[in-house]
Amino acid sequence: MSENAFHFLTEISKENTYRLLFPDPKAGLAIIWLYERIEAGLYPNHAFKEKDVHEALRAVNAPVESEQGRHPSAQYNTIIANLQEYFLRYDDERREYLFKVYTYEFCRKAKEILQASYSPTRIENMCTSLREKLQAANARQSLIKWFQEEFEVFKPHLKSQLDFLDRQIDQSVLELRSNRKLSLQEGTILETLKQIDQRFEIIRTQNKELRSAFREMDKIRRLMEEAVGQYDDEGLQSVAYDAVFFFQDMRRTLAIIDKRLDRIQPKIKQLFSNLNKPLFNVRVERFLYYLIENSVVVSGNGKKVLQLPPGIPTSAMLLVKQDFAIVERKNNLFPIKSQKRVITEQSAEAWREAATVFKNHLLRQDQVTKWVSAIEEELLEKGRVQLAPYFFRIVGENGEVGLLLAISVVYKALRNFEKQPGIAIQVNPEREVRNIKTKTKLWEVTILQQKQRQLSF
Amino acid sequence: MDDEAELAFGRLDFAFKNGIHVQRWGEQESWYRFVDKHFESLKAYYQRFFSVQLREGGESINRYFYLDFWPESRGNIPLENRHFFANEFVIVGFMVYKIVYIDQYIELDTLTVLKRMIRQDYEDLKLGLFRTLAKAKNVNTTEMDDEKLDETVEKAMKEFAKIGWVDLEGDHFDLLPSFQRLNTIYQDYITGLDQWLKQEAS
Repeated sequence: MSENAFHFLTEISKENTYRLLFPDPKAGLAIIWLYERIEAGLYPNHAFKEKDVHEALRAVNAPVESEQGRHPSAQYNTIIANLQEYFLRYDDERREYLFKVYTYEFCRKAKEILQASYSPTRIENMCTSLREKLQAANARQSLIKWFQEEFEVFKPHLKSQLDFLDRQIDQSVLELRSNRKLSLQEGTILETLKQIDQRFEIIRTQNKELRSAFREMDKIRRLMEEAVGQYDDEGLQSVAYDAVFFFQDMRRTLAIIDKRLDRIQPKIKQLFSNLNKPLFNVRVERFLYYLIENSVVVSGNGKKVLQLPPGIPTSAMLLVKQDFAIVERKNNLFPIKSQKRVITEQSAEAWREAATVFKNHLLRQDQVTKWVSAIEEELLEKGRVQLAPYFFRIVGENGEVGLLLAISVVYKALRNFEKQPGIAIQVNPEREVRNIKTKTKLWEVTILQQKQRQLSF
Repeated sequence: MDDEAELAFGRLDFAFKNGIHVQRWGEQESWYRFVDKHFESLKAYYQRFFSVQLREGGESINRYFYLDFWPESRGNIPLENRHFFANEFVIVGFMVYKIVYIDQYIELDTLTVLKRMIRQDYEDLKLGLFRTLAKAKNVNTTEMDDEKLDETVEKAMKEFAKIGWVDLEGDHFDLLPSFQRLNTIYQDYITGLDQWLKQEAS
């Protein structure tokens, strides 16, 4: 090693170089905080003021500071001064701070490492943010906005992810085929095949990841249905319906990709053993050509039969046909066995229930009779009677069973009077009797007693 | 005795005698495991009572079992119980092999596409294919020839499905590991074609 070689360890150990390069969390987190804001484009020209650094320091150390209730300016000043060594550049003319190159590297590397160790697919991230935004949309207007702005943007992203997976399969298959000619001479096909097999594994993993993203989508679906259900709004319901349909569609696409992988991957495994023997395959082709060229069609017994070239045995890939005479005892030749009698046990409770139903039925019958005779009395007394008022009275007086009772009474009365000579029933559909309380209307039905039967010749 | 034998053997026995090839595929999985476990005793059974060989082909995941009635078998299976493949099916079989395993159209999985490929995609073989598979006499093929060829291809695939070489469901098919059996049947001719032709000539 030459004398002026750089000794990294020695250098970084000098004084507090290490601490300046790798600041403690208090300062380091503030740098990350600023980095995120720069990335978000919040500072024009990536430059920021000292008060921004203060804000960063407060933000990442918030709980402690608020307890103390004061700004430890002196402490902040020291931190900023230290950061200027490697992280911050101070522009004293503009009184602004800028990041140094190292700062960007520092932040980016950390971010990359963390991202790689936890790598949810983009879709999953999108789903999470989509769900959060949906949860925040608590008014009709914001819900509409969510559909229009968030969901519509998300749709093509999801679609393109699925398309991407599908395209990867297509590409692999094509690549495999285009490699074929090369492979016979150079033997690279095995390598290609291995790569494709591996790629399929990757696609499979990606497919799985997407599947987990779909779990998030299920949540979104439920939330969406709940949210839309709150408003009686046809427009909203129709976009929600479209969204549900979209989810179903995407799920189906995912399943199709799965299925394609399931079909193609085993064949690739079969190819492994076949491609090992390019010479054999050439011979298979030659044999096939020989068969096609030299087989002849001969006629015999009015049938045309194909004969393989002489010497090549007929395809004795035989199947054994097994014919069985099946002797079976037929069940229906013998008398049917008597069935065991089923005795059900009666519980006291069921009995009581049945008795109550029966009693109620009787009671209603009594009431029907009572009302019908009341109508009859009025008819005798006045010579005519209107049914509608009775109907509404019965409905009004008998609570829950009122309507049922009223219908029974009217039905019974009509049947009774219909059969009696000297009594006429007039139904006038033109005149309706309304009742506001029960929200029903009836045609006017009048029962008339005819004193004398009119005979006409 | 293996409990499984009672459940599996009857149906498996029929399947084998029907020419079925057993491999790790769908419902055959349990049969496969059974044969794998009792290979020696099953082999002895078929050898002793029917004079046919229980054999295995393929390797690892592509392994399969079958009863070999051929080529030199003088097995105890009466001639009237034997059923021979039509010769056309051999040609169809090798065409399928070429398309999928040599030309690597591995995504091919419907009869419709298979028929179309055999009809259209192999210009150099077209004449021969129509002559042998559609029994067409003319150079120019007609719609009827097309239909006949399609019919032969479909019949062949159905026959392959019966013996477990392919899994056929409606229009969709999958080639199973035992499809490779086609090669082994004709292996001697495939590898020694030149030599064999010379012998024939002399």
